[in-house]
Amino acid sequence: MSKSAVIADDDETIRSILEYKLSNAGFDVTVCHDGEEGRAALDDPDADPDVVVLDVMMPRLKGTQLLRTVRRGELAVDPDVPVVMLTSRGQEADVLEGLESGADEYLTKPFSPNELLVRIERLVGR
Amino acid sequence: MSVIPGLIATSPRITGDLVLQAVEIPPVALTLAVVVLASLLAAVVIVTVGYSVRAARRRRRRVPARAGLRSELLDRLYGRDEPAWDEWVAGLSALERDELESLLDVYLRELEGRDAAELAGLGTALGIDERARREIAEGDYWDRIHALVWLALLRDPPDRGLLEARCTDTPRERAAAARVLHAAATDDCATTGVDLLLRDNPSAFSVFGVDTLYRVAERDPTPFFERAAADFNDWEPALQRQALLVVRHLTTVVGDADLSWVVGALSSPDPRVRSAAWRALGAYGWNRRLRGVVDPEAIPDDPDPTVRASAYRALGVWGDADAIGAIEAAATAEPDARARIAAAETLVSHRGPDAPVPGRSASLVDEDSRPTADATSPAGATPPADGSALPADATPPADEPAPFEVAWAWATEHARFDRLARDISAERERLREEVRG
Amino acid sequence: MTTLGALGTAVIAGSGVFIVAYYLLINAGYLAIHVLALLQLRDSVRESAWSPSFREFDSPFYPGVAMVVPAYNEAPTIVESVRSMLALNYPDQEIVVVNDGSSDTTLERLVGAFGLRPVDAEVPYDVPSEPIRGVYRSATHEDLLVVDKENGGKSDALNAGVWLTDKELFCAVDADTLIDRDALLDVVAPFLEDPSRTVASGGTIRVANDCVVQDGQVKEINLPKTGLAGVQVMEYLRAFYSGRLGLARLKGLILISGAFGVFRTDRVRDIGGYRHDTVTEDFDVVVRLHEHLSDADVDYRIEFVPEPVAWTEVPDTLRALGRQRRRWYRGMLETVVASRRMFFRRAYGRVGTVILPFFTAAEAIGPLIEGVGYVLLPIAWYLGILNIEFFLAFLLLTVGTGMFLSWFGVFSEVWSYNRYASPWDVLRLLWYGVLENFGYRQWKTVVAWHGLIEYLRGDRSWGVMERRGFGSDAETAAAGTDETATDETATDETATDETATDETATSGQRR
Repeated sequence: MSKSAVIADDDETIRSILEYKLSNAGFDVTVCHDGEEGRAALDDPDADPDVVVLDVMMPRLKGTQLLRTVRRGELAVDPDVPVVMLTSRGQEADVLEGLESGADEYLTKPFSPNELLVRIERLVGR
Repeated sequence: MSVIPGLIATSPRITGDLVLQAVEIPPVALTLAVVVLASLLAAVVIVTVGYSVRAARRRRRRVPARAGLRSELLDRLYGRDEPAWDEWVAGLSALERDELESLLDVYLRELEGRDAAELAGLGTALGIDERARREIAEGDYWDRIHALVWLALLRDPPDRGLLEARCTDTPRERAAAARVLHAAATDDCATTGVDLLLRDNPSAFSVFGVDTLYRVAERDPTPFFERAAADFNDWEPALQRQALLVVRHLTTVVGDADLSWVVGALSSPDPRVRSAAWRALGAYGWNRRLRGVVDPEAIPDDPDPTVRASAYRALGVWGDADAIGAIEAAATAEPDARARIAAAETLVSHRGPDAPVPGRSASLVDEDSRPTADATSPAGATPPADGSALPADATPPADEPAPFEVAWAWATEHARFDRLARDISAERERLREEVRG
Repeated sequence: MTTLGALGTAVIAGSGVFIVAYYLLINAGYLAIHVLALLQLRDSVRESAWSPSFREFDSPFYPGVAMVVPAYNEAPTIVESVRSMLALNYPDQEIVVVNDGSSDTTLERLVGAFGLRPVDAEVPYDVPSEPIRGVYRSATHEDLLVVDKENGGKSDALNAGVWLTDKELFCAVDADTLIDRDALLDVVAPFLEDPSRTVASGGTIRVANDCVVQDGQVKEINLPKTGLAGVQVMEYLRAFYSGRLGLARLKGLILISGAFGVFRTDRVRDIGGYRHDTVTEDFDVVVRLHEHLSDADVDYRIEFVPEPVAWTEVPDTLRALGRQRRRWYRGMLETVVASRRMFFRRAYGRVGTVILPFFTAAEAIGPLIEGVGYVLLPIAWYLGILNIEFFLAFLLLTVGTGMFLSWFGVFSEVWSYNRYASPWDVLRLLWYGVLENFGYRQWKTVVAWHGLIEYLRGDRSWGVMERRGFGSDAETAAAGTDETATDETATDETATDETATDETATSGQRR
């Protein structure tokens, strides 16, 4: 059974790293360039990702807004889908905001892709 | 021109001609000017268009090259056991190497851990580390700071002697050098870092400098605290403020360092320093020794409202009953509007937006208070049987809400909106109703 | 020749000499500014190329910024503008939209798009503006605040925003300005470099006409198709890449665009905020900051950052453009007159001793004198006293140098940030540089005289620009029904408000 993931980040570098790492780990990756694309991907009735990786600072729709929309059940995707926030916003207030908005994991950039992968595997395995 | 009135009387016709003759422009000068202008114009056009064409050509070549290099880089980093950077770099053209360097810069900023270490190997293969050292040793200011950025990205600290000799002229270079040490996590990053940053008592840091100071002090707080305890009073107010700002964020690593200078700053003549001192102390509510020497009762005596506002916020962060009580005591009598709002916001964040106004609640729960028909109650009003509704009327003058209540209403409304915007629970509809307004 | 004739000849000849001499001096000044600007540009490019490895979003020391957006009858574009501002790349940001008593559906559109609800509490402190009818917050975006107030003009609206924010810095923007996503990070750079001294910083304004705009961001940069807009592109390039950079190098920046400038909130509150009785409040506030801080003997910096760009639509009809320019001219006169005590006083540094006087001579008086020149020429020719050398000298100094300075501006842009990527666009720009000096500048002298007359008559009007909304055709169609070119006496805001006041604050206008 294949695992699928949705990633949303406006930074090409991050997208390339995540896509590479996650595909190698056996995930079917849907790549989104900004918040609105992420929203569209998660509102797709066929969408059933095992994990979602979101950046916060994205054009058109911020990651925290998108996450809140997911958790409120306003999109087709399962409101309890595991979500990892991967962002440069590392201050305490931001971490708290991310967690309060419903993130399961909060990783700050610069990040270790291996660590990210381990955390994702743990979330998906649950 | 004063010659004119005199001449008009004598010879009208000559006047005009004289003026014209007096300022006649020699045709030679004019021709020269035209030639110069024409050549300048031609030069500008040629150079401008030339630059534009060159830039367009370069862009056309680089964009596809970059995409190819990117996928190869990821492939080598993740797809293979050994990236074999040297072998790859050897086969690249100068343009490709340049583009790869730019790519490497971007990736190094995003990654850490094992992947970053691997990429640092690519930096070595491209010869960046050697070039950076050369630039520091021989280059000008811009070369040096660019080199320092690279070394920080590559986590590759150069010889301290080189840093001492070449990177201490300007505050920015010193901060960049400290940053390299921090990035490489060297043993002396705190001691050398603090020394580099705070040597010669600089006037103030840039945000980059303050951030670097914070990061190195986070690694090992001792050098910074020792330096601050010793030199704080010699520093300029702007630097004092920044040091206090840093202290605020070091609360978890401070250990038992000497913080008397922070408390001392509460009495500084500069209100902005006092304000910063209060905000720093906000993070130290757990420190009994410090709490013992700080007197919240003295807050209303401070003449500057921004200082009082910072004090209220600090007490709010402390959060225990004594602190909150102190805020309440001072808040209702606070003369400045913005300080009142600071106090209200702090109290609201503790009590929640649905709590009653402090001061008001006291009279509401005081069931022994009997309304009396005194001069201040509205004419014709009969004291009702129960005491709950009347206390508001009994307090003079009751037509306008007390200033603190206005601030309180403002703070609670905003807190409700914050809560609504952030909410992800099932309570959403109820919260939405609350702010229907 | 009669006495009168002789007198007339003398006057004309004398004036001719005076005009030529005047322009020689002014152009020498402009040339100096341009050269300085090039040096400053080189430093700016190097500065922006230095990007340290510290992360702004991870640093607790980054200053917070409030975007203050005065809005009057901006219904077609307001929602898109606010959306694009909400998506700006900045760690700590808040948006304060001030609805200045709009007569259209501005507020309604905002309420609908962002789920706004009124805040059920009155503002707890005094705000120096027209009465505030209500304050709104969003159910979904916690960093948006909308203030609804009685109409009071742009300064008034700005003041309401400035007083209602708690952020350390505020960024005054126009409602229809599109800000590049990373522009806020860049324009705040001087505050990062020298946090204790910097009080204001400005970015560059560029022309958005015919650019492709998507989701509030300029996706494709094109030169405008019409000549009038194209000539303005040229003007703005010169104003920013030569004029302001040069002034910044001289530490005498007296103008920061009202469409994109960042200020320290407390400093602006100290000087009482923006002034109501001026039509170019951005120019006025910067000059008053200089005055106030010099009086208080405070060490301060006001900087210009060329790289960050905010895009705005410029008028493309002569009528609208004329109105705008007359307004700028009047505003300039007002501010110059109001700040006259700073002239030639060493206490005010270079701003007082050199910049303000030169600026007045070049931008205020210059066009008037040039206009006289254009009138004198045919008269002189008719009277047969036209000296061919004079004529040539006059042309050289006005049109010729003007063209050189215009092209110099294009060179600066190509050499540094090179946003007009195609060499064909660059050639078109150079052509606009020519057009600018054959027709456009002459027309502007007429505008200056007209503006002077309006000023002397005590005219206070703003005028409305017929604006096409940004974005899709559907919006443009909707815009048609909402736009009203109303009478000029309403105190409304005009769209573009950079007061690029012809450079240097204008930079080297040709002259």
